[in-house]
Amino acid sequence: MLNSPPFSSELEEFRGTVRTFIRENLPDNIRKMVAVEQMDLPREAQARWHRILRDRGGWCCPSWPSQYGGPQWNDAQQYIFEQELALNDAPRLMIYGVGMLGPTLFKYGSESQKQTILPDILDANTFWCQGFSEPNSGSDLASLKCEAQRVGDEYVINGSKIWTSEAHIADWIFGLFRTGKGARKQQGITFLMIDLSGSGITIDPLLLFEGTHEVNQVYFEDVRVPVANRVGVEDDGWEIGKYLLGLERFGTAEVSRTKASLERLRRIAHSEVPGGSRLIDDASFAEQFDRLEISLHALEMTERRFLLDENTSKSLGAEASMLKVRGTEIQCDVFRLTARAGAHLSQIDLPRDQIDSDLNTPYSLGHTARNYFNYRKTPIYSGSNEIQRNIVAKAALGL
Amino acid sequence: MIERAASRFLQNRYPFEVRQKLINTNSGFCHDQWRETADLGWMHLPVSEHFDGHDGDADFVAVLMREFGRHNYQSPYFTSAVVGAKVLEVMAEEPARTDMLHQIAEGPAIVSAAIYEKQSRYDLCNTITSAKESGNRYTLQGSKVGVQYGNIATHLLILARTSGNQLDCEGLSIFLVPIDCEGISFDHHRTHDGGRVSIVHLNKVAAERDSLIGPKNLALPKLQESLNFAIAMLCAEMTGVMDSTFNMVLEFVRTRTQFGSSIGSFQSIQHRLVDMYMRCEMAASMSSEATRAVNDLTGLEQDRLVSAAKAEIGRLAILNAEEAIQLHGAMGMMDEMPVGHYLKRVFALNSLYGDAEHHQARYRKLNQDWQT
Repeated sequence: MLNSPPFSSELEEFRGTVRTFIRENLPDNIRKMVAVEQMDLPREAQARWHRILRDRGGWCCPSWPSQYGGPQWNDAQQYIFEQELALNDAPRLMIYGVGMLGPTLFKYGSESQKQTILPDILDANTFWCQGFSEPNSGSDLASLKCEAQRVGDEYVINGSKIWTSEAHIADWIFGLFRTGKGARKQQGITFLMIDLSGSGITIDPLLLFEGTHEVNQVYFEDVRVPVANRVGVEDDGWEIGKYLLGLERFGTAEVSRTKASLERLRRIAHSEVPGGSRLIDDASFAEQFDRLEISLHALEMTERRFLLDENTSKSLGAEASMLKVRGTEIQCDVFRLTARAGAHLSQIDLPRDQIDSDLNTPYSLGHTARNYFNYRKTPIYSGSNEIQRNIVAKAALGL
Repeated sequence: MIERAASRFLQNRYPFEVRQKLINTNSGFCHDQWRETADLGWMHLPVSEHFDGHDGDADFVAVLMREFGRHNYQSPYFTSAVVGAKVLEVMAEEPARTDMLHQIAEGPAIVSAAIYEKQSRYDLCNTITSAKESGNRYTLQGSKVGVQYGNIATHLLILARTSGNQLDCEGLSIFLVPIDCEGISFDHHRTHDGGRVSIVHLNKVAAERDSLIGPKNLALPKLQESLNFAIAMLCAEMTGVMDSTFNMVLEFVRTRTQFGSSIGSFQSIQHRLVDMYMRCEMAASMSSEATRAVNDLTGLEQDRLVSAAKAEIGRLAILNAEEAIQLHGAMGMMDEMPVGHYLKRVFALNSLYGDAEHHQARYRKLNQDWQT
């Protein structure tokens, strides 16, 4: 492994504190799910870990200020904390409530929205999901059509949202809805928060081709939403959406998660199989492994520069996109190489609950190939890598 | 002619919805359909006229396998009628050979090769499973992985060590053993692409003396020759998968509209499609080369070209399948869309009888032998 330069001694001490806490408090059954690269953790598991972190001083919401129950950490502390979560097989933070809606409300929300919504996110009482994409509005998000018609002090919603991660375990959805028609398609979009238990809402599961249920299609039929559930100004929600997507793209580089995955592959590759040779002694495998390790280090140092260097601008449009593109590309490469490691035994498709938890041999059955298939979603989700390249061309290069 | 007949049969009897249902049944195998394919004469194709096959010409089988690839067809055809029959044709002696080949070609016998072990990866020399001679019998001991359709096989072709040490390429022999032989047990599994595969445990299996087929201790060169044929057929199947995934993407980018235009009108998308198209053409050429190798070449020349083709096509096919998903966007990740299931298929086909990296390394090694 290539070591990155250490932070200040105070920050490294902070890292030690965080690491010790995670290792001592992460429930083993949850750690195992993450260690086999399962991304869609059950609600109970997510809530349990979230509350363990909350009780430590609001660590479940690392980007939140103390007035809302967060730890009031600076950028470097947040960065180190998320690194340690990943490197120690702790679950991802709750991205929709904690990572996206929280910061959106800090910036655009009313005081009463902050008072009513944030505590339930902090306590993991409310799970959120995000309604952006529609069947005919994917990469071209601003063309979205799901309609919110203003009737008195309510909006009436008709239409549908698709690829909605976690809608089946969520209580509320936030998203962008069409309230008007402007000269540009980006106008007339409004940011609303909707209770999923209301009448007129149907959630249909959409299975991924390797078998998991992570995304859904959410249908709205005459769903009535109080105007008080609007964030920001009517017809002006595109700005909030862009802000939100920027937040989402930062997480998606998943540098430390991929580091952990690569470490797992290293252990596999160095393991001795009785009578067999070690995988790392296979020249072609070793070359590919080393190349990934180097690429990942380049990405890590770039991420650090973008996120933490005071001289870099904080607007971070193109930067987030670059990190997302390279991050997901390397992630997919790591999973492809890992799937190769088991040779014939990688072909076996065992149900999740039968996966051999001894991960240190190439011959733990089949989940590595399943992960390879599943993680093909990463260059697609959260703004496909094609769209990210458009953003970089425009924002960074002025093309 | 075979292509048209196979295409029609698979279109009618094996549409995507039927396939998905079939792979999710208990056995992953449909006896009626197997019977029908036997009646179509497909299982005669891989062996030569002498055994009542059409003529054993690799070209005919390749055409059929490409069609299987196009329809993402899952069946024991490859393991039994291609690998099993070829090994028997090349190695077995009369009269057992003719009898067994008939049973395979007519359908009642399903033969599966049990030649790899956990530690061997794709290296056949690395064999621990032993066959000790005692009186009129051999006693087989060990275990095998990657045994395709072990759940419905009637016979196994087992590679076992009759002399020498674990890594020796000499000292290996092939045994044809019925699966109800005492001491054979299985762990049956589903594969990601909807096939079936077994781990086979051999515990003091008493095999009759005449279950040894081919030369004792010297099975490997002939086995490798049979496998070259099989690998060339996998190459053909992968080109079929590439054809289908490419056509799906082409259709998708023509019809999917974003930003007011079909996404296929965007240059960046066009270039991606062109790259995929070129990969299909390169793969088709290498598939023909693999077929030529097993038809017309022998020895080192055949080995080199077959490995070159498997290395190249494996890489291209996986790359194209990944691209096909990416260009479909989130639709490409859906279980109800065929495209993801083709990625699973090429992942399996690439791995069978040595993945691209294995064959790249084998090619290097053969080149060294070639030059000395």
